[in-house]
Amino acid sequence: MKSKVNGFLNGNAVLEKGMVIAPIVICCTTLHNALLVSVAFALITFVTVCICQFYSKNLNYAMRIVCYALTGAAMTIPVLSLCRALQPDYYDTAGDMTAIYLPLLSVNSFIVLYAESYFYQLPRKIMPISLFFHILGFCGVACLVGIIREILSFGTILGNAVDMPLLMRGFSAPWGGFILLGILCALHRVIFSKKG
Amino acid sequence: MSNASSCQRPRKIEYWVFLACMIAIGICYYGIRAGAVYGLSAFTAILTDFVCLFLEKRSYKLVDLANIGMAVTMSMMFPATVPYSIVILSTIFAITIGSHVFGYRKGYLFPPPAIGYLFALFCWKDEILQFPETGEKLPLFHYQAELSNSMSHILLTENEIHESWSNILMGTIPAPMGTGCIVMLLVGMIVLLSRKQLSLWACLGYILGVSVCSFFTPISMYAVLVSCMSLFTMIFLVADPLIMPCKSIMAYIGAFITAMFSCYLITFNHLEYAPVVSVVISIPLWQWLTKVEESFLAEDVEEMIPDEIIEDDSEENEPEENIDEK
Amino acid sequence: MQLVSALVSLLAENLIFTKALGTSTLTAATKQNSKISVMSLVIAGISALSCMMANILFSRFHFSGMLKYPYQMGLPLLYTVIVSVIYLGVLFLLQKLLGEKSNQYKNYVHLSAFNCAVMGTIYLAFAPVHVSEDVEIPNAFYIEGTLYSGFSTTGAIWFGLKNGLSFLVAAWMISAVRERLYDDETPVAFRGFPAMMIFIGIISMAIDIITM
Repeated sequence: MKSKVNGFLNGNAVLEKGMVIAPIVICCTTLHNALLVSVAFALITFVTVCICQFYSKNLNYAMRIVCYALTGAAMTIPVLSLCRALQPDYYDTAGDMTAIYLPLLSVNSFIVLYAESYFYQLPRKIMPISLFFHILGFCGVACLVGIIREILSFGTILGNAVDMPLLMRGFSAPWGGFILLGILCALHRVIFSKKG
Repeated sequence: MSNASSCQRPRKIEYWVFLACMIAIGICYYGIRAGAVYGLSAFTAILTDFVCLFLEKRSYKLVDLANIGMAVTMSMMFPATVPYSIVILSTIFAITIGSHVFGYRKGYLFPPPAIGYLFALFCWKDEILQFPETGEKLPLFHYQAELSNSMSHILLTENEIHESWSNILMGTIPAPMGTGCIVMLLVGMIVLLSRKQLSLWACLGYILGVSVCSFFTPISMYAVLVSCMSLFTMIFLVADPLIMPCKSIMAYIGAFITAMFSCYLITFNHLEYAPVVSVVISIPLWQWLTKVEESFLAEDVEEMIPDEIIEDDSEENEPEENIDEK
Repeated sequence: MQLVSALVSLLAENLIFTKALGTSTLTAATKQNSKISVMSLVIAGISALSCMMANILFSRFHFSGMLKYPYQMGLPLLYTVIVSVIYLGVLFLLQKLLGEKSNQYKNYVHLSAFNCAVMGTIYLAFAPVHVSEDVEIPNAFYIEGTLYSGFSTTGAIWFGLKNGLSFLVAAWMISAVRERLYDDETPVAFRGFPAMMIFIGIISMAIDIITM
């Protein structure tokens, strides 16, 4: 059971392995953005990795990676179109997040690196469960970073004002994301090294 | 641990006397509020140190007093009217991120005053870059001071200095609390240099960098040195042996490049806080120079280790854990 | 002065410090103490070739309609196909030119091809810049105060190379402090990756203040 749940807290892909950092640092400045990134990441990654497990192992490594990336790109189109359809006003004004970082999820480390080195080594029945918890781990970190940055920078949660005595605008900038991520990684290491 | 960083010198009494003089000048010019800002910063630094050392399972030692100096140095770059909450948050950020995250007992990676100042500048720019007139005795709370841009800002926007040289040298100009009094800074610099509390080569390299750059820019070397916190940065951030590599040639090169970069930012980006920014960005260069120093000058470094060495706290270190570098 | 100006330009639009693109690749390479310079040059080369190919497709073969309707017309697929072709081409060339010796360099190509630094460069190059209400041109061809009337091959190549060079500058900065971040001096909780993130954050803060 432990190996199936691995990836949510223990073995978290962002905090332990340093994967998929860019969307969290740049995009997750508010909880709303973090939820959008999480949904897009979850759908693209889960479906792509599950489909790609059926690709022939007779292909050489390079060809397999190309196939995974093309599958991810193909999945990006309907997922992001769906996101845009659900929230068109928000989506069109989100700037770099929707123009660059969400489409980049098609070639995130889960698909082009981690799938080949970890997920496809697991038994077929266990792989989707492990993948689910790894994705949940990413989404958890994204939302946590989004909440903290929104409270510290804007004094709101999902647009609702929170009583903050002093706002620190800097945490909405990329450097705030890097520093917060570093602190969360250290906290994760302290908590899980003791338990380990 | 690098040999170069082993030759960091502990703070001597002259450094603390110099800081006390700067604090006294601040109180003379701005009233009790300046003293409160300095005191609050020092107190917050001590508390932050205690909390961080408690979490690291270490005890408070003499060497940790350096963080108080760092906090007070950071406060010198603020105006006297800076809100107390900003002082507290900036100090916590400076000491936690600048000191404890990267370790500091054998040498700082980043100068905490620079980190704290940049953090405050980014988050609360208006509060940090507006200054009261000198001579206005500000109360502890509920002040009503007329604020204005600094002399450096006016120099960069209008390309001329409206203040007299006597005002500039005495620091009776709108400026951060501890960076304006050029006379006091020069006197302090000479005393610290003579007591080997500052790197002479770093100072020379910095001054040469400013003078070389002034050939290519419309702002004169003297104007750059007396404005934009240049002299202050040189003394407290560049020439501080706790932060800079300790050997002559490398300190000279590092300071020279930092000064060139700083002058570029002053002239072309019109940043009145450019020296602080250039110090932070130059840190990787300084670390690289330290490595070069160890590679090529390792024999000479052993002779330089002074009799007073930093206390070894290896007994209190946790047993090394295997860092799983995946 | 020109050198300082170029350095400031590489820092102000740095892929790592301002856009966080390629951070995972860089931290992984730094942990393993790999030849970061080689990887950075590979990234620069692949980025430049990708931007050039994309530019040719947009200007000569009139694919530029995809920029206006990216998802409906499959823009992510197009960019992935471009990088895939270059990736396979580079591997093929390595195998042909170096034979068995190519194995030590293949890992750099595998890590460099499909990462955010390369893909992000192409997206950034052709992201529209709204010069005015009616006029928008791709980011790669816009310099403040000067307008480029159309797609330019040299402009595209230069944009790709510049982003690759900015990755190299970031890699050098991190490798200069790498030993310090893994040193005994750094507390165990922060040693390595967490300290590296905070280091990148502090440099990013300083760069943000320059451009503020």
